[in-house]
Amino acid sequence: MLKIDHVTKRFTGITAVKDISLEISKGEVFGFLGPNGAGKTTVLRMIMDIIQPDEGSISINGVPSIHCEYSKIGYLPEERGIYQKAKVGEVVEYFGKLKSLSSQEAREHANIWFSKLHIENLANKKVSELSKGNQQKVQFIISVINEPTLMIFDEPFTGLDPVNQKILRDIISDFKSQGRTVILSTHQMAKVEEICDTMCLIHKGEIISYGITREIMDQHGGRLDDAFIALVGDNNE
Amino acid sequence: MSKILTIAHWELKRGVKSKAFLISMFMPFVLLLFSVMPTIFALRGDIDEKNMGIIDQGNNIYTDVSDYFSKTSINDQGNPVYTIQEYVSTPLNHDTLIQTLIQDNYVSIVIVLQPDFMKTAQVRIFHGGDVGTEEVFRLENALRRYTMEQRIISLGLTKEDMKYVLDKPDITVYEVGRTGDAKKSNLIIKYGVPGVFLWLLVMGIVMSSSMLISGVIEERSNRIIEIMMSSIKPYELMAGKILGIGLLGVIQISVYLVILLAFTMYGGSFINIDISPRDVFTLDIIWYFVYFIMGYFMYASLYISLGSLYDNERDAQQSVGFLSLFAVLPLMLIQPLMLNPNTSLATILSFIPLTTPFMMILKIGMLSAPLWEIIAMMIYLIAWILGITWIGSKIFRTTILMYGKRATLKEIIQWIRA
Repeated sequence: MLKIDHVTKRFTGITAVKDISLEISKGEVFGFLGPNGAGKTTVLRMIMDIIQPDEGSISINGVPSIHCEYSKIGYLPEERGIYQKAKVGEVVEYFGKLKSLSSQEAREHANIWFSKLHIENLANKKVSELSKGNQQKVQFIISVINEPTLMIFDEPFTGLDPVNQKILRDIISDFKSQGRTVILSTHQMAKVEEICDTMCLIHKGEIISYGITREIMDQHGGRLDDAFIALVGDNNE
Repeated sequence: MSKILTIAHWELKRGVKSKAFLISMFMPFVLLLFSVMPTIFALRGDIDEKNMGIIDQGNNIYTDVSDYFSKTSINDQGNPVYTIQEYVSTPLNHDTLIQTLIQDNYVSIVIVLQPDFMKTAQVRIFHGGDVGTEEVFRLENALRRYTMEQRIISLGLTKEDMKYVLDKPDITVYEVGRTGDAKKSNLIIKYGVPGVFLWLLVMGIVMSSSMLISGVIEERSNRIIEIMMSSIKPYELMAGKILGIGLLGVIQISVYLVILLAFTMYGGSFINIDISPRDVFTLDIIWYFVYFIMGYFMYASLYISLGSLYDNERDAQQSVGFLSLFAVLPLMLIQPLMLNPNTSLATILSFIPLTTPFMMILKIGMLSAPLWEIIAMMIYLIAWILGITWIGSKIFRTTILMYGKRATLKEIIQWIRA
């Protein structure tokens, strides 16, 4: 599904990502972990072709990233932002159309998602009138409105209360059961333990652990928190 | 293409709903009205009735002059404007008398006919603060005409002879147009219509510049841009935005044309100008329309490209705002350019893409620019707009995710070459 092959990215004087290689199969929920500033977001942006690698290549379903149809991929960036003065329904419809849906499809999909995330009464409200958590839900809907087969969620649980975190976790599990691929970048180890089949831990731009989540946990005493501290702590000097 | 149209539609919808657009649309008219109307009212306005004093220093023409003013200075109701009284001064009290008459409000105007007036034609007019320049101008004209008439009569000519001598020649000016037909040259249309378009374009650009910049900055600072860039290419985003803003320009100019039509139908008589829709809505107006839109596109593409270099509105407005100066430049030079649109300055300005739209509007209106030039300059502008959009999208692609660091010129050149 997704292949990252010896990718390196440098920004003026800093190597943000060093020679990383990964493969994620169809239907996998992949955990992408690492401390702050490890290079996770840079890798995700390169997958989305928002920035380009200096070395190496990225391909999705065998197609080089530069030629991929990105409107078929779902992306929830870590940095959240949305048009504050526009109405929720209008914003979702707009992004749906940018992801190649017709107006009607975008509205139908939006209504389904509004109902799944229990915000059907907010469609006519201005984004600025919504709570942070509800704005987060709207952004999540924008990232999945085109029913993508590959989804990249960067810190999707941030700003959500436990009830909504559970709703989101269940939705991701549904995606998995539908055979769709999810890349999940998060600091919440418990979520990775619960829903990620495979994972990698990145630190200072390099992969320091990569494989099946359960196996990595077992290697470090059964808990991902301990594995994270052991691996990052060891390499943090 | 459909994504470009989606973005254009979104930008258009957001723009039309914004207060900034409404202000930018109507403010040029408000400013135009404020700058023109007082003059029009001053020219049209009836002069208030006033007291006038005449000091006839031994010429014995007080009655004659007084009758002349009573006949010629008449208000809209047909009454003489001035209630005239004669005053006699001596060399000792002359200055004090005038001072007292005006300061104590006995009269507003004192006309002093100097000794030997019929020979020297020397008159002095003294007036208080309630007399405006326009009224003084009318008094000067009346006295000039009176003197001329008296001198003609003194030469032994009849009133008919005088009328014959003073009769103004009836001159009609014709202009031979592009199609070779000669028609009456109307200066109001020749200079006024392109002048109004120029003004509206300048004001439209200056006033909507902040709206354009803040639109880009909002997407950058709110990080919406990252979601956008995951769905569309930078070129599509740039093109969609420019198209959307350009369509705002179409709405703006369409509203202006409706207002202009209403003015030509009903406004001409109000300000005593002989104007009709047929005079104004000629083929030229289509070219003004096209160049207005192209001017809008040109500045929109520049504002969006350069605005993307900044992540906050204050820095962007300070750094990109200077572009508005280019828009204002032709307006500052409008008088010399109107008097002689064939100067080398006009030629240079018409090749600077930032001033091309303005210069072409002036050239079409005043010089009847040939069709080939109108179309060639249009292609020239379109090439610039596409080039700026292409370069802008290259800058945009790199700068949109740069926060807290300002791009150097060297870096920008590298991105364009990449």
